[in-house]
Amino acid sequence: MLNKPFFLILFILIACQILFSFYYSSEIINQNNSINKNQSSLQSLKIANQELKKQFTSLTSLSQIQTLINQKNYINLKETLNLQN
Amino acid sequence: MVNQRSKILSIALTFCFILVSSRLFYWQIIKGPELKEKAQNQAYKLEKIIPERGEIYSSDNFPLVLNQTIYQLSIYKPNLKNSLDEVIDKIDQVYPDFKLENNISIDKFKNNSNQKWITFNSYFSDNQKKQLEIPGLEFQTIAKRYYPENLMAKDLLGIISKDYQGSQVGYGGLEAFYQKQLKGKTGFVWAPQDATGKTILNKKSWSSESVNGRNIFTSINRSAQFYVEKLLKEGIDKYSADSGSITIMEPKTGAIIAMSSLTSSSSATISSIRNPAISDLFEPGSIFKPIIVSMALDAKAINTNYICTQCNRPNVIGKYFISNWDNELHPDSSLQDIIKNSDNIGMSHIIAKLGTKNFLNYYQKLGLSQKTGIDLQGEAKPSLKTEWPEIDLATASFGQGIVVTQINMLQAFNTIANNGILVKPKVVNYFTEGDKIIKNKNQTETKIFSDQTIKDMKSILKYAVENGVVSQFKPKNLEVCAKSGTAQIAIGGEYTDSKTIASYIGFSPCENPKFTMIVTINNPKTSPWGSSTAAPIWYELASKLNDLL
Repeated sequence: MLNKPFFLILFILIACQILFSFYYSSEIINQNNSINKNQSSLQSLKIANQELKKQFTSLTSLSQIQTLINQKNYINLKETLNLQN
Repeated sequence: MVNQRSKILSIALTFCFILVSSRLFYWQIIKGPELKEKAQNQAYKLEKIIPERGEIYSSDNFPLVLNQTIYQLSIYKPNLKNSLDEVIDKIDQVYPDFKLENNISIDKFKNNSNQKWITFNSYFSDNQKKQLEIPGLEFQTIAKRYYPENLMAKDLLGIISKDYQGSQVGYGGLEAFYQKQLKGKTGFVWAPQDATGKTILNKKSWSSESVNGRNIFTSINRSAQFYVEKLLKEGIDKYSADSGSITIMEPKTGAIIAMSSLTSSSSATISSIRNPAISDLFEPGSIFKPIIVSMALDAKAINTNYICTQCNRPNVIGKYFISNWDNELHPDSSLQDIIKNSDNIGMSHIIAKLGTKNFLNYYQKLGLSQKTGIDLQGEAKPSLKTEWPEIDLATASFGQGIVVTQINMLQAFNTIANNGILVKPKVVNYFTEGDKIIKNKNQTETKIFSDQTIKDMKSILKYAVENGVVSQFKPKNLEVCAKSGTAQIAIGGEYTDSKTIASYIGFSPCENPKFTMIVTINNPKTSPWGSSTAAPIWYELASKLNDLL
């Protein structure tokens, strides 16, 4: 008589343990996936930022302006910086 | 019979159970810790988080050095899904001239079936990399420096390269001097990794944050630096010189406004590590004369009414004759005229009045026997003789027989511009670390010359400029206190007239000067004199600086 509730509780506990470990591991996987995703988007943003800085500074550098002066041509600079005048 | 069998079965089962349990006990309890450690070592890895190197900016916050992430391409033949020719064509579309740049290695790779892997020396941008996500192509990330102003201030900035451990290290200039501040702090992650090698963070993972390098904000004025390099290059070509250096300093703070050294275009090799303005020793020649006169006035060895009564003949010291650069004599020269005429005879008599002890005392106080301590790597230490016979003291009065670096000379001369106060030259104003601004250490200031000495000296220099041969180059709106110099170069222990170092040093305006500048031209062939080579460059730059600063 005693065996029945005992085995029932044991079964429920084992089932809970299995469910919890499934939940816990999937939570870890989700969190890690999210970290990886965020890390790679952060890296992409950093690289995009580097590229933008590089483009902007190479267009506005004195050496570039000197080249444009020598060519007597500011059109490239104006177009790229989207200046009105 | 059945009972017997079930007994044997239960004994066998019990035995097996004991066997399994004892084996489990052995692996889990006795060998457990050892296996756990082995498993952790297999699954866990220590990953370095490389910080971003700090960037370097000019005084107008324009970047002189930026970070750039680029990618190096490799091809692994077995992973290619399309033919090698098709893949190469695709790369060539994305990266123009790829085939042209790598035609030899591509041909070898195509024709050698045993070669499975190749890495090319072409570097791809992030955008190009994204367009080349093709099986069989691998990209290695490489952190490089990008210079928006190309070669501007290259010898001042230094370069980065890799040390024996593969870490980025600065060589020369600011990159090396501020290596610790620029490199930042490497971070670490101790965590298990999955089958693809990705880090899985869990409760047992351990990490320490990386700290990016500090950004450096210098006192370099981009426009001034641009003109310095342009005019120096033109000057070296015009006077057919071997090389030249220019350094400009802010008189009150010692902040370097511009610094450049160039070699002639015929031997145009610009070293990014060695900076001649701080690493090359030279005999300053006549630009040293105002320093000696300042010493003599300050020590009260002479006064402003000094008249050189012995200037009507060469100064004879033992077997040596001290004569003037043009072999002219200027009898009864005043102090002003001694500087204006750059009179060696007059100077040799002034230093004799000053005496060796006073001379060496001021020489050391002006920092001429040691490094200035400028925040650039590679500064040379000038040497100072221990023995000072009379003839050596006499030649020192016109800057021969002593050696200093250009920055030493500028620091000492700047003392006259800065009301007798010696300041240490520096390039960096402040650092930033995230949002935090960290000021560069304040420097000590030492008063060397009295206010009266400086007042007298400025008046002498102003007179020499306005009445000397260089006045033809001086723009009318510019007030200048300066001195030219021509030092002979000693070859095989003897001075030769064929090779000279032509210099011009000074500040403008004379009261509350905006800058102190030195121009040095090595071995000019069109004219050996500082007054006709270094001086015109100095005045052209001074005119630009007058508008810029």
